[in-house]
Amino acid sequence: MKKIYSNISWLIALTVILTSCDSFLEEKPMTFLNPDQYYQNEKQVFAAVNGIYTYVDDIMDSDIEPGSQSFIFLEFMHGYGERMRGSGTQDLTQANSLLIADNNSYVQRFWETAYRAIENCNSIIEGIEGMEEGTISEAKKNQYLAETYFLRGYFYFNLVRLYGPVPLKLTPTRDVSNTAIELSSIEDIYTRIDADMTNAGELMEDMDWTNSSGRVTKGTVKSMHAKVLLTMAGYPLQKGIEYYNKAYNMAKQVYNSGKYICFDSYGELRTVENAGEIIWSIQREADNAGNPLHSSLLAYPAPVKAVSASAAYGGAITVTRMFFDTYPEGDKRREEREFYYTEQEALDKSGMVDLGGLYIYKYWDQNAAEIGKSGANFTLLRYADLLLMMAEAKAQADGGTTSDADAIEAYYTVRKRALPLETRPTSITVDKVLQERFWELAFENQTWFDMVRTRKALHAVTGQMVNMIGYQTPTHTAPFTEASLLLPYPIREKRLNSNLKRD
Amino acid sequence: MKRKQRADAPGVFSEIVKLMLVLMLLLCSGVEAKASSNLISQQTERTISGVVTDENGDPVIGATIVVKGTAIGTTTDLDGIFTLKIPTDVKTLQVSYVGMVTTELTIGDNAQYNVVMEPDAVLMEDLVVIGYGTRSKKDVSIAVSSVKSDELNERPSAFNIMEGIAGKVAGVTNISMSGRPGGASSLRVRGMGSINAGKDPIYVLDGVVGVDPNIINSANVESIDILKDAAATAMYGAQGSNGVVLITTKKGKKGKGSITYDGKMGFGFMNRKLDMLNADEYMEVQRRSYAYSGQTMPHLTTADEKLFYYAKDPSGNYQYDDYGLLIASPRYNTNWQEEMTRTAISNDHIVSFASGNDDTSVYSSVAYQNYEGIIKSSEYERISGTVNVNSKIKDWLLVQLVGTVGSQKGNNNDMENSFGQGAIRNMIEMPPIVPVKYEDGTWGRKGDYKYSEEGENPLLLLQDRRDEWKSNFSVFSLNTTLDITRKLTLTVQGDYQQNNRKGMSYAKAGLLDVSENNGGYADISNYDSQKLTNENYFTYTDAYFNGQLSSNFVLGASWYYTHSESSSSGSEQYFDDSFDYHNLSAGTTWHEPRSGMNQNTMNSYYFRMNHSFRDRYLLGATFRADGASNFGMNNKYGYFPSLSAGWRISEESFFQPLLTFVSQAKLRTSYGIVGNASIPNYRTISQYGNGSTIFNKELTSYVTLSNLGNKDLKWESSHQFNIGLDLSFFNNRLEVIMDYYTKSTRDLLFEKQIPITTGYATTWTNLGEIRNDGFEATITSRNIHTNDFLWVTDLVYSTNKVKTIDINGETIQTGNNTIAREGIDWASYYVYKRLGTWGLAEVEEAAKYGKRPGDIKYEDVNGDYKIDEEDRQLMGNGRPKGNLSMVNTFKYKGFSLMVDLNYVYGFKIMSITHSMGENRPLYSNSVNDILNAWTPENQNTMVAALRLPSDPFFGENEKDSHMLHKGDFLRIRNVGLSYSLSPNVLNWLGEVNNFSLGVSVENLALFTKYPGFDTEMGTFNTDNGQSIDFYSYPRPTTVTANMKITF
Repeated sequence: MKKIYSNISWLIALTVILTSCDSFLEEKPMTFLNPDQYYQNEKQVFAAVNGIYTYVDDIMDSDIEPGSQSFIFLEFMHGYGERMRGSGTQDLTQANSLLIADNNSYVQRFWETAYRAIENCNSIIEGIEGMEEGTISEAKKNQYLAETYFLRGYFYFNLVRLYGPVPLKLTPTRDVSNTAIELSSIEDIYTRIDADMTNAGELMEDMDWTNSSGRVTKGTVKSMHAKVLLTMAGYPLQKGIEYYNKAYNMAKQVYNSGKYICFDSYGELRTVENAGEIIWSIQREADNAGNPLHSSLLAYPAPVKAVSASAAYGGAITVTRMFFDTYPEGDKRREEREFYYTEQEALDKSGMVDLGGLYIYKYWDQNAAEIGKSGANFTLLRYADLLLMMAEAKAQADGGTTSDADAIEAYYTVRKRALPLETRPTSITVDKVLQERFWELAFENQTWFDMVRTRKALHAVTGQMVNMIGYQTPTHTAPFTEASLLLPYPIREKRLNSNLKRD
Repeated sequence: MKRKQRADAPGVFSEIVKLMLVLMLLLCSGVEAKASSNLISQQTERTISGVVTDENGDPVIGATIVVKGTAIGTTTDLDGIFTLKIPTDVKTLQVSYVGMVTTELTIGDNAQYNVVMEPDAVLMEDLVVIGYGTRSKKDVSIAVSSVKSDELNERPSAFNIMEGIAGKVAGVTNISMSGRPGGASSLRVRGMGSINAGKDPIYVLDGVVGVDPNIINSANVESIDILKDAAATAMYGAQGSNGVVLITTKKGKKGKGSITYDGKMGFGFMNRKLDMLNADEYMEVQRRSYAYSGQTMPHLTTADEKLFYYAKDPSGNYQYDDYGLLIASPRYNTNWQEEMTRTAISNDHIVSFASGNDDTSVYSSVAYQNYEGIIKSSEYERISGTVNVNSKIKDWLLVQLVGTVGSQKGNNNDMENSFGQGAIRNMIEMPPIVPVKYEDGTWGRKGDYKYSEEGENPLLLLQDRRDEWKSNFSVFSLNTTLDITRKLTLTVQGDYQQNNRKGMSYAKAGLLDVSENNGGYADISNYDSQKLTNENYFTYTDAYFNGQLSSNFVLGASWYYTHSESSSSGSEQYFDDSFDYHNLSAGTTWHEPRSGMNQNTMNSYYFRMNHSFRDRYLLGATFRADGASNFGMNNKYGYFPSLSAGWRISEESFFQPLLTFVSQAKLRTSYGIVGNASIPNYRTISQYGNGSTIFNKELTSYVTLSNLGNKDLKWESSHQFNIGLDLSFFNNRLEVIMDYYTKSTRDLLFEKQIPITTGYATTWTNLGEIRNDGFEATITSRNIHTNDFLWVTDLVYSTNKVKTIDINGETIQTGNNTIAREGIDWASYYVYKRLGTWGLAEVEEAAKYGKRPGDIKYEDVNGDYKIDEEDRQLMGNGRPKGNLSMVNTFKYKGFSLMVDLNYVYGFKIMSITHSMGENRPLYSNSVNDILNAWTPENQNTMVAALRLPSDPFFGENEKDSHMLHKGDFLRIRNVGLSYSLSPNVLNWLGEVNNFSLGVSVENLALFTKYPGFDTEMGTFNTDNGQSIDFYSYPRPTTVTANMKITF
């Protein structure tokens, strides 16, 4: 018996030992999709394009220090705002001294967000173009491609404005054999952005100007394209009149569409979403994708009585008194609880609470004040911005002053909301428009980019436009120099790519 | 073979070996019979016979009887009887048997002899488990260390086997990350073998590969053998590069059954407190901060009756001082460390049953352990049952069933290392002027005084937040060993491991930053894993050249399959707190549900041979091929060979003169290659990550590129050379084991940073080389050994150094402000050097850095007036250079006293806790050192001037040299006294076979300059957080009483 068993076990064991099947060692993942086997149907494309939008909201990201969102950093670059709480790190403080080190975490964050988004765009463009006939409808294909081209342009636009020459990468990464990409010139990068925006605009030509989905629309593309052209006309490329005209014409397409309005009251800017004056915004929702700004901009130190149920992590940034004082007398925007506030009703409705200072009210979210969570969108582009771009472009194109009726109407639409008693001007100057931009778009992540492309600053005492280089804003510890216009390349990236050098 | 085996066989493993030996000898005897028949014709012969028995009178089967100095010999048969033809002039026979003292038999005229052999105590103990078999220690040419049950359980408060091993084995360190019961604890064998791949050794429980060591109750363990060098671990190939820990469960012994109760009860105290400010000192810091910024403390202008007493006149009007300010003193002086801690009670009880007869032995136990943490409400509990059945079902079939089932649970609501509202961090940071509760019953909060950071009361966190986990686990293993021939056996083993882990948390409504706006917040997560393994191997044992060469061969194959699933969900906005986490649908807002699946397979083939020639020349070789699913299609299989050799010099004739002094000497050396496959699954495949994003308040799915797959990813291999010397002196009174090794890990599995322009931050790749070098020594000295008194000293010493050899000339950020560069120690701190503070005489120089007197001054290495990346300097690392343990044991009659000391040196601790305690003066309470802050009168200081948060350099916390502290320490790890009843008393007691009582103090004292709770701690995880102190859990001093009784 033993022998039989032994022999059987021998055989079984030998069979087992000598058996090897490759399929046993094959990985069969069930929890993620593989980009190499993607782009089979419309829904997959939809999910991939949605993915790019998740990078747009990265300016809401922060480190553990309260009120350290990337959004806040750009508002320290211009020097009209001040921080009430400690910074935690030197990263924000560096913006005040205009000595931004290459290991500053914001310098890395902006770079990282943009290139991650761009890689997704490159991969989607290639993916959609390679899709088989019939797997996606022409209309959807155009829409998704347009959104992707637009977003790639948008992220390169952010990169080139912040860093100047950057690597221009337009195809997806396959392996890591060659990762040290060379810098492209600012000119080449803008040419690509212009092309991407044009491409997106053409693909969307037959689509609606607006919709309430929160996605990029034809209106978004044309408005952003106007901003790109206006920037190309100004610094650093200084393409001049030709591009000011292009910018004006592009803005005017949006203006002529009649699809956007300026809200009657500033309050609507805080309550109406994806319609009216709002051209494009970061989509937020209270429970799943909260907006940190309401809480970050609360008064600090916290007032004796709570005015909001949101965690009291305020003090991220507020307007300086000097900048506030540059608003004209009677300007509605300086009235209590329009753009700024000094007191607010207590949460328990027991009366007004003095905040002990002047704070930004633009991002006040009454809902958040009551339930503690903010689901407010964050506006990236609004019609008032477009109108002022249109006026500025025309005034520039006409040599500094214009009496173009549309340009004046554009300017006046914004102006009269703040100063209803003021009469319509017969001509406007570039400086007038720029002043208006400072006041209207303050703390909306536009001011720094406006300064860099115009090389102009608002004098915080006189309220007049002055040359940016050599001017020192209220909270900065030094005047602007040429060197302050661009962020350094991030230290991490410099270590990994030796091409990232600035002359 | 139905005859009785020897009665006192120490365990089945040794039985198997003996069995194999018998088979071998039976076979050899045939050969030798032939040989001796050749001799017959030449000499005059006589025939003698005899019986060989052990001290119990049982026959010794297979004992070798040889004529001394010749090849003439035979072995005993199944009844212990031998018959041998010998030349007439032979006077002496030598009788030998494994595990017995070799005896010499003087031959007279008789034809019949009875030989009684005695067990060799030293050799009996020295059978080591080496994986896929056992081997006598004397025949071992690899670096393997054993810890027996008694040693493992020497310190009753050791919480798991990892802590029990601490200090027992040279080259093996216990990394205990916190003083929390159930806190992360792991072993490191010979330094750090990998960068990003796993660093834990593999645990093998009775042949079951890859067991979670946390489920093992050390009272059930018979022995632990740790394989250290590559020749030993290569048998585990791809899983062996971080060492192999072989755990053997206790077995039932033949004879009368026994019942053992082993119970421990302990009391833990907080021994070291952080030196935090009291209320008056805290107010002094406030006063100086306001003064520096030219402001007045707010409570001196507006009365804050909640926190302060004010001077008032009899009619109740406030009194003012000369400056027109109120006169106030703090109302409360809370010592938060005292409020948060308690005497922690621990209970550890186990009852075990053991019995055995000729064919079957059974060991079983049930155990209960409950450990409280010294932070209130933290605890850990484990219930487990173990069974180990060995049965010889047929002559040729041995079956072993080992099973462990149980559950563990813990409450982690104290949350160390927390960025959010952690109870330990809040305990340290709560201002002393805030009470636990105000007179009106409301809880004090951190932010109650102006500028203090918002923070929840840590006691309220402990009370209202639960963060529990529990896990149900089981391990079953069925091992069958078949004798195919007398020399060849086949072992087939099937194992099943299962673990369900559940995490549950609930925060009652109203906890700041936790559930203040969520109205109750609950989360539940489930993790479920299964592991199936199958091991099959042949063992062949034979002897050649008249028994001068004995050889052992193993050939086998294994299959491993691991599958895990996870899911989680949660909800918030509860209308009532009474549901706890038990009814998620009672919340109105639901958390995103999540789930996942992970699967890993491995397939291995292995071969080993061991030879021992003339008992003095030892040679071993192994080869293993492993295939793993988590490697690229092009590199699924890795191949791991090893070679080892040993020379028992003391067996040589030239060594004879030395034998009186040196009783044994063995030289060992080995070289081998082992691998590491502990990387996450699916890294060779490019991946889309997914989630939900918002469009117009609606959730929509999205995907984004998350991983760039590397199809060429291959095995990391570790090449290790080892040389060792085993010596014993003065008849084994003094034993010395020394090893030197150098272990170079190549093709490191490394999550390489790549430029983000690729769209990815990292990708897994194989990179370069790091090298561990170390020296280990274990010395056991029986200083005094009389009948009544025994004094033994055990010294265990090891060093280790990790150098970066080749990383393509790059600088790798290894986390927590440490870097790796070629030629320097791995993960060296790379920080600014703090020179002190800028003085009043340095106004101009300071201004060049944008600073003023009182601000922190760093060394500007390149003198460019910028403190940046180029100014960072290498500042040592967090891994100890050396570790020395000394255990002295004194035994007098039934008493035993043990003193266990541990000295660790040559490392630096980065204390984030202490530095945060110095740079957040108004936000939080501070460490006492802050009182030494800069003032015009005290300029020679490391601490910046105190100021208000609006100052740009408030809370400056660049990582710098000031955060680093020398970590060297001497710990009285344990002092224990025990008493065992003497046999006389036991006889009188009748049924009781053994009774002992003991008391011990764990962590009696810690001598160190380090200002934190403890020098052994870590943050984030055991891989790279060692010696980073980020609000770590304090380590208690525990007094434990134990009682052990055997019936």
